Amino acid sequence: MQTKTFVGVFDSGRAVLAAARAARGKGLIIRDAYTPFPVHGMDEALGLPPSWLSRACFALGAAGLTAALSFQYWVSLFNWPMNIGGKPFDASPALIPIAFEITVLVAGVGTVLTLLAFRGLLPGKPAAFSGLGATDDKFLLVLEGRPEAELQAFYREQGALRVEELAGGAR
Amino acid sequence: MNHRSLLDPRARSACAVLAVLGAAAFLIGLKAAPQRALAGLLLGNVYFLMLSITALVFIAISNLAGAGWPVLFRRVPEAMTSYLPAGALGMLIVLLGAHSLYHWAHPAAAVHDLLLHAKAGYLNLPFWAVRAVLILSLWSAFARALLKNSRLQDADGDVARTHKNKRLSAVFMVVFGATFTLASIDWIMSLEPHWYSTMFPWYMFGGAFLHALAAIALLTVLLNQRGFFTPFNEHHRHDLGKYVFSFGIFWAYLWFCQFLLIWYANIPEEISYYALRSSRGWMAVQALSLLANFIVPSALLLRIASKKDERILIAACLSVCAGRGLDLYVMVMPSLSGAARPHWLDLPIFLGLAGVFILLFDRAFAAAPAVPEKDPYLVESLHHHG
Repeated sequence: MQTKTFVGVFDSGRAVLAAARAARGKGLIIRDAYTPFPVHGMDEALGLPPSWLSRACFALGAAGLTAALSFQYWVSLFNWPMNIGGKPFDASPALIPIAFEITVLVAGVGTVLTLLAFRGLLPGKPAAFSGLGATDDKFLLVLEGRPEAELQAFYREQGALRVEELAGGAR
Repeated sequence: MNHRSLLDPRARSACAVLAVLGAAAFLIGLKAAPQRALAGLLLGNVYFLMLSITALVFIAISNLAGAGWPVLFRRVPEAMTSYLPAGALGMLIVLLGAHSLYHWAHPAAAVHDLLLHAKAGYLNLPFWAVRAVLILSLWSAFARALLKNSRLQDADGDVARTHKNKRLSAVFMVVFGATFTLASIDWIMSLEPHWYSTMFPWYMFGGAFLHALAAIALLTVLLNQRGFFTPFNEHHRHDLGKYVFSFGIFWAYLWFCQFLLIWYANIPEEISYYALRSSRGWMAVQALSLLANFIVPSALLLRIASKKDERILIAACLSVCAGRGLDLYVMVMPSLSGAARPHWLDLPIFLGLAGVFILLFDRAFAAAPAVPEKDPYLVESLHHHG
């Protein structure tokens, strides 16, 4: 029997969270949830593994720190030593503000860019859903891999406002 | 209501013995080394006094933000404010011994000293005493009012009390900003009356608030192990861990803000503070303070899993509690003693005050239900999920 993919539209974060938990409890296959803002506890309800993005963030921060410190030491010790207020050339406290800022900048911007790149969220990407309100005030839960009747019944039970079939299963 | 006391009789008498021994050490010290004894009292008293008032700041911030998650264990910071009257008594003793502690308190000091002469309008004992009375009575009044509403709500469940506390918290935060600034300058910064730093009250607040967060997290986790806050879960720990982690960084940021400008400019009247603290062994104490307040808690609490881990959170909080002591030690002692050499009076006086703090906390915590049962936000706190 051919399985289909369905989107359930909910009108609150609480409702979609409860639906996601119930779906996992019933062993339904959740493709994803789409919400206008982060819903606390959703990653757990979807059964997502911990994100590796925090490790990427740490690595980027460490890279930024190393780059900023080595550049400053190279400039002030080898490339262009300058006497500033009689301080030693390797006056470390003076290098910390720049090192701190570059660390934060590389970690922050780098993490966002990593997310966009790995998720393919680049300009021109076609919208996964249109007209369902996921960027407005509606909360979507996408289920797949079960007969239509079963999914329809589940969504109704959970109080979905409407249920749509996803042709081709847009991603 | 002794039956709800957290401490068994032996632990309670141990605390009482500590307090008595601390008082005895202080009295002996007054004869043997009056300056050191008073400095020890000032250090320990400011340690616990600022812990109490910044615990109230935690409550006020939560009220103002409408934060539901800490309601479950709000009685912990509430009970921590019970040290305020004892702290006021401590400051009174400091006032009586001010001549041994504060150089500016000698009338003769200002005569031949241009700077002290110029500052005499502010730095004189009567005005200092008036400010201390003002600061301490305002702190006590706000603590009493906020706690009263919270405890009356246990009986009547009136939502109006929550709104009332929200308004009170807003006024308190403004009053706190002004009074805490004065307290930091008067009690600690004026130990070196020629030196000044506009960052000092900020830095003091960073340290005190970090300490309060660590103490709240520590006491809450320990009391939870005794079953006081049963639905307390890993998400509460996660949030407490985030708080401690971020304010460890905040403290280091402020420490560095004060240090960098003074180090860079290298002006004699400013650099004297750090010149003293980078010589005669003080550098090591300063490094330990940075380690305990910033590096250890930040490294321990960096990962999500370790913020949720009870033992790691406890270790980080203990490190901060020790670090706050070292931080104050580096602020208070160098101005009096020269070399960084521990004195036999340092520990007994501090432990005596710790005994007093624990006894007062225990009594205050037992005097009210451990959980504010009728707080409208309690349900949110019971089902906290990150």
